[in-house]
Amino acid sequence: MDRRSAQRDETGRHIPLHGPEGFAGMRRAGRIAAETLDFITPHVRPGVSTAELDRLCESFMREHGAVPATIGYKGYGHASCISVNHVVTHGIPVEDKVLKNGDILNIDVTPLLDGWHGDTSRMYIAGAPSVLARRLVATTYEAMMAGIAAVKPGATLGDIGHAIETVARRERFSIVEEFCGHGVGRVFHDAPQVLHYGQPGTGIVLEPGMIFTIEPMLNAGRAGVKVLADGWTAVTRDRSLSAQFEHSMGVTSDGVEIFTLSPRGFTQPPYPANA
Amino acid sequence: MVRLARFTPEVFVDAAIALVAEGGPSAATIAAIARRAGAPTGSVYHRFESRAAVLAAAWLAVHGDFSTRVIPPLETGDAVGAAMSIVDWARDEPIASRFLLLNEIEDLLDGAPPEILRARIAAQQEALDAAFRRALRALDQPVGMAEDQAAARLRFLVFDGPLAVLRPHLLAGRAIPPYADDLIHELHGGTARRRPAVERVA
Repeated sequence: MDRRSAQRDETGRHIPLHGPEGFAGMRRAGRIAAETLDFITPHVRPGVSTAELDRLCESFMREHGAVPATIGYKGYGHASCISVNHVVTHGIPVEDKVLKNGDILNIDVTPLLDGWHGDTSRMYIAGAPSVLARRLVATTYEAMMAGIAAVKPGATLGDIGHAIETVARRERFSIVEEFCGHGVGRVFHDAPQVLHYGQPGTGIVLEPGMIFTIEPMLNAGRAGVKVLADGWTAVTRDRSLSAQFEHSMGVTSDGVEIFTLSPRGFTQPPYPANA
Repeated sequence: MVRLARFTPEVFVDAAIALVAEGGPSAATIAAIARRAGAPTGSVYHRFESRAAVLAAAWLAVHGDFSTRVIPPLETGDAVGAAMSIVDWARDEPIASRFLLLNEIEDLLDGAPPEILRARIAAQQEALDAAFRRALRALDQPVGMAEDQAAARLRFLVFDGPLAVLRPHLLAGRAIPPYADDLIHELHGGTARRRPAVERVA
């Protein structure tokens, strides 16, 4: 039985503090999640539909004993979210969304394995990207890793948000504020909520055993987003490009453990040609 | 998979209270409230339909807390106790007391709050007024004093006098000094005597 922190997040919920069993469960689920993203890498190319990529992700997860946690989650019907170009997040895979040369996209998967949710996403590029797209993707990865570097006992969620914000602002990209990272474990979306902006030294103090995602979304244009009529797809209001990376991690006694690192060492595009 | 960032209404209410306490009503814009709460500006509107609605909720929260401290002594006809409860509350709640005691509700609510909040504000104020009226009936008044003068006298002893004592310290952001208690007792002197219980019942 996991303990709970005395601290509550902005939604009023106490934050679970996971023990060794939780960390072990998250390692297994996180590895399947990362392997799924490794596996899909060579399939991302101009001419493939996002629905095909989704089917491949689903097959891989099921073949490895996991269930896509997104299927049935609040009515969502797919094994992944695939967000192309100006789609910020929660892009729904469809047959008629066929990748074009230069498209950038985020693939977000959450395999559920033995009751644990491994939640991760990476950016991919179909063909040759624009200079702006490449810079946006690289900055978003750097921002996520800066946020992760701030994770340690005694640091605050505000420290994480500030680290991400600092990288984004340096490159004059905007940060999406409407969506956030979240606690994860046996519950898909748990406390705390992890904002990707903030003031140093503010907010919840990190404690060993907290498990959450960091998943900043950076826009090349303005920060404003809107959710389309399907209730899921969030796009930039100005139709500017958007990028996102995500890792699941746990706070350890002296730092952070990332559960969703690529076994093949993939971090950000361009990925190895022989992937 | 990201989740929609959510914030409890209390997060915004607390931010609004702190902003008003620090900079007056004009400091509590929607953008400032969101920034203080660490939330996107749009998220305020997920919870409140307007700035007036946030400020009304803030007033209800603070006034409600204030009332729970002041009403019990008023109900027992204890004018000194009621006055001292305000001083004690200001000591315990420096931010809330700056919010409530240094601002008129009309200044806080720039624009009409939703009808349901207006009704709650009226009901909450009426609860305090009713307790005040009961205290007025329970206390001896100087012989020959008109009813309106007696009410003004008790209002001064319980509310306006203590506020005059507290106001310089609240404005300066200072702790309320111990001598504030002495001033309240000096103000009241021996004037706030209760009627015998049998007469109160009658």
